[in-house]
Amino acid sequence: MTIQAVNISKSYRTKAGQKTVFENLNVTIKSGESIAILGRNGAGKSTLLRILSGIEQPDSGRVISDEKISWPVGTSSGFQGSLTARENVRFVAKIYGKSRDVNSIVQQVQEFADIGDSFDAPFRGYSSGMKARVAFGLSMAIDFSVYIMDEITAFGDADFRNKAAEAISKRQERASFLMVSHDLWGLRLHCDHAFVLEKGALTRFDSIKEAIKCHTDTLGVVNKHDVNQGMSRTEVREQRRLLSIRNKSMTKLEPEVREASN
Amino acid sequence: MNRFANSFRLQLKVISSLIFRELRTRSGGLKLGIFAVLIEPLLVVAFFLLIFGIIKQHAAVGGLNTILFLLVGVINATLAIQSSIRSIRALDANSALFFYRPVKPIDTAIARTLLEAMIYATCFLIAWGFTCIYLDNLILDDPLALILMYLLNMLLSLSLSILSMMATRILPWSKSIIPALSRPLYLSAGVFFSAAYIPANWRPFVIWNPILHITEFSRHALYAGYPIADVSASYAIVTTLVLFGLSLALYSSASAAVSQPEG
Repeated sequence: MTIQAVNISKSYRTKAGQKTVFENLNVTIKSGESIAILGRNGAGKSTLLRILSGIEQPDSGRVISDEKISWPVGTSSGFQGSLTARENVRFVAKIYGKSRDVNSIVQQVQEFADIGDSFDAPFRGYSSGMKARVAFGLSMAIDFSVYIMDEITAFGDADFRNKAAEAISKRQERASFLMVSHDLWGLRLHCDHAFVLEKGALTRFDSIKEAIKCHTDTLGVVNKHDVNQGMSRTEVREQRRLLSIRNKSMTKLEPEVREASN
Repeated sequence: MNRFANSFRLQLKVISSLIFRELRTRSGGLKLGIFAVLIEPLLVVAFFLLIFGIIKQHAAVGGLNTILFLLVGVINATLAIQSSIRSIRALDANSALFFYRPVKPIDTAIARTLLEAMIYATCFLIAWGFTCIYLDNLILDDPLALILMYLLNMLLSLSLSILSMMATRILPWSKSIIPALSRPLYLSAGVFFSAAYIPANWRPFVIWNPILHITEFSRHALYAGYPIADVSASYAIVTTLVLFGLSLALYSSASAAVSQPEG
């Protein structure tokens, strides 16, 4: 057994009141398993990953694990924008690795990321593809028993995806994987089992095909419901207009927003 | 025992990495940035010295050179108060760090306090050294007491920064209260006055402040003739230990709330 979550519940306080993400979930991940978590946006997948990786506590219930678990590997979380990739990588390598391994970890990440001189430029200027390369490369350079991946393969080009696929299958011989991705094809390639997280309940599927079918079915229902139900043509047009205004103002705001989030 | 040693070693590793990271961030990655980090506290001393020089023309307070008198005050008070104010924003600024499970909020508080303490100690040594050279006189009567007082002040700073870190997380509105509360703490810390020069009936208004006791004792350690009135080292030690115990108790009972992102 690698990770076992018993009866975990999580809710957040929002302005609209208490919002329950999930209640009394039970998850068991055995060593050597590769598991995909499917569910639509906002279903609580990332929250579940954070709890399983141990960086966030559930409101109730316990997470039992005796293995070295990675942080939820995403595009930029955990990186300091004003530091370079090299400095960020050194920091994480120092914390997780032995001190004599730090240099070799940095070198491995540099080789994997393959972003040239940018490796020594501040992280905040990177594109999401470059961030994904560094973040993914870093997690692969450290020896974990369980790797937790949050949407990491969604960014980046074909070259990066091929490299990532290769690195994952190499690691799968010894380690477990837990992945969230909307790249369904990629999941099919890497995972043996899948969980679908929907309305706070987790369903386990032994075949990833079935899970993807269930997931796309619910998505299909949701989409139909959102777009068509009880809306007249003018209402749809009005909504589109509002959306386009919002999008425009978002693009105008974007540079500042980016600055602030760094 | 082995397990304890291992987690202790891990924590040391995390803290030292955090210090390097913080130093890198502050110096802006420049080689000269290290001077920028040091120059800020020195400018504060210079500023006070200028004001002090304008107000009164005394060459010495209680027999201690004015530069050193102010230096001890500024260094001690700024270390203790700056760290608690920085901690208000520390949790948000460091939220990226808590992605890595070995990094606990208390590590960031310890790393920050150690780094500040090293910066201010370096500033002190530079300014003290130049003053001694300028006066052609080594002004240091009790080095051990000076070091002990500085260590005590580090512990006090750590306690204050853990307390303010916990306060801002448990009661978010205290973010705006803490800077206001730190004002009287700074003003009564004896940065620009000596407790002995305050009339005895006004002394209770400043004597509650442990930083004042630490500052006055440090001055006394520099120059044994410096008068210490109503100042007791045991008061500073007991207050610091009580605050330290309080901060640890609060941290261990509510640390789960601290490491979580604001929802």
